[in-house]
Amino acid sequence: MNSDFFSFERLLDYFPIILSKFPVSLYVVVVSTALALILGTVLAMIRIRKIPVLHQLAGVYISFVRGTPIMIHLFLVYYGLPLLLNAVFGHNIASGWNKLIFVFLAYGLNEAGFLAEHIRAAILSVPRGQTEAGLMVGLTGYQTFRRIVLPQAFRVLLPGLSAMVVSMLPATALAYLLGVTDMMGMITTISYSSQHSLEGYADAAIIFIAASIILEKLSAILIKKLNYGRKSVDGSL
Amino acid sequence: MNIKPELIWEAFKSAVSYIPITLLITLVVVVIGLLFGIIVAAIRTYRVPVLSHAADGFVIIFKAMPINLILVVSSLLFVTHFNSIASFLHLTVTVRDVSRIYVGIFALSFPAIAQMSEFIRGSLLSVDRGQYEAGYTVGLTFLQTFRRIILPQMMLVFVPSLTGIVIALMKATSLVILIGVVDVMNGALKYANLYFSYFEAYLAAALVYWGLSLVIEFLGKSVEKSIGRYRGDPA
Repeated sequence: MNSDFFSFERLLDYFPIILSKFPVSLYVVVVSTALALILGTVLAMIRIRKIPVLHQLAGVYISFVRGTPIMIHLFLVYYGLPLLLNAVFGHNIASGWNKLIFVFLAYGLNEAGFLAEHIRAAILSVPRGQTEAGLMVGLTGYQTFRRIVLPQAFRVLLPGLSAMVVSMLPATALAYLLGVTDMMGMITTISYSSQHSLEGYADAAIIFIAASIILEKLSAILIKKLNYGRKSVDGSL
Repeated sequence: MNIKPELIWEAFKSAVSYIPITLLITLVVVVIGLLFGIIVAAIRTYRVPVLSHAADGFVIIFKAMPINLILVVSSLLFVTHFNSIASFLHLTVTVRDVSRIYVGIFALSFPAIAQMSEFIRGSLLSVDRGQYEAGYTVGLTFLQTFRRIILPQMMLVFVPSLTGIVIALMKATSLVILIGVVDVMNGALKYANLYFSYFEAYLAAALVYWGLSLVIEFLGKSVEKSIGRYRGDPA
């Protein structure tokens, strides 16, 4: 074992390099959460309306996503999407795509499975009378859903959503497995040339911890704001 | 579409034969998580001086750190430092004698303890303060109150979330592939390099994990039922 195992100079040297890759993780969180919100709402509506066949398929999908590791989802999308596109279009149109697209899709599909149940509970927490009131003043079903139900449901969803976003951030550290240069990928690149990776990992750990503390504080402020002075909501009535 | 069902079957059989390894790691990590999670949760809930701040820090750090980062760093430190620590303790074992599984269990324990303690703390706080006071009023000591009054009530809240944690930890054990442990994930990939059948291999691994999750969920449901049987309606 050599004495040159861990040095604070390298820790400081690598910090800006690794920090410069932090936006990649944030980017993955934002895009995949947006995807998941859309897909999750669709899944939740299918479950609430109990649309035949789709209802069962959504149940199987949610069960599958919740029961299998995110690492497998990453690789299933990475290897499976080209196969699917091949079957549909006859040739692989995904061959030149940015690897980030696969990462977005994998994390989005994964998160949707978890969010769907939260969204379902949030939508069901809005009293039925709200829908009736909307319909009574002449709004269509869609208008009522978008303008009356969704905003109220979102307030209930927010605590669960923010907890999920905070836990998503460390989960994105697997994106480097597909060859995306995020913080973990950068550490690998650095360690090839310098033979030192421990300092890089320490930097990444510091960044992850700081980011999650900041995110948690921000979401607490947001939740408080959206409550408009009312008692806090927890999804139950 | 050129998915070969026979390769899925091949990978599936290989993955199934490694189920004991995955379950072993999961079980040990869950037990460690429970034991230390109870301690951390108790320290944080009853605000033990000094220690409670350390426990807060521990939970914040290990909830925020990616599990794969903890695994890789543990493995790195293990390979570089194990020999010197062993010789310092006058042990005759070297790096080669210790299975990587233990490194995986060691690394996964930290996030497990952090997560577990959060859920235990939540269920501990779900029991009303008045329950403690009621216990003291009828002359029970703290330990008696805790065991006979608080614990049965908090279990009703804790057991449903325990199922979720066990499934999450079981899924997280798939990351031990990064430090070279052969578990379900690695078992499924055994032939993937040979036939270039990665999609089939991951699909097979997914099916095995899915099956395991469904079994754990079923077990959790039955435990929930037997715990909640004294309540009028199953919560």
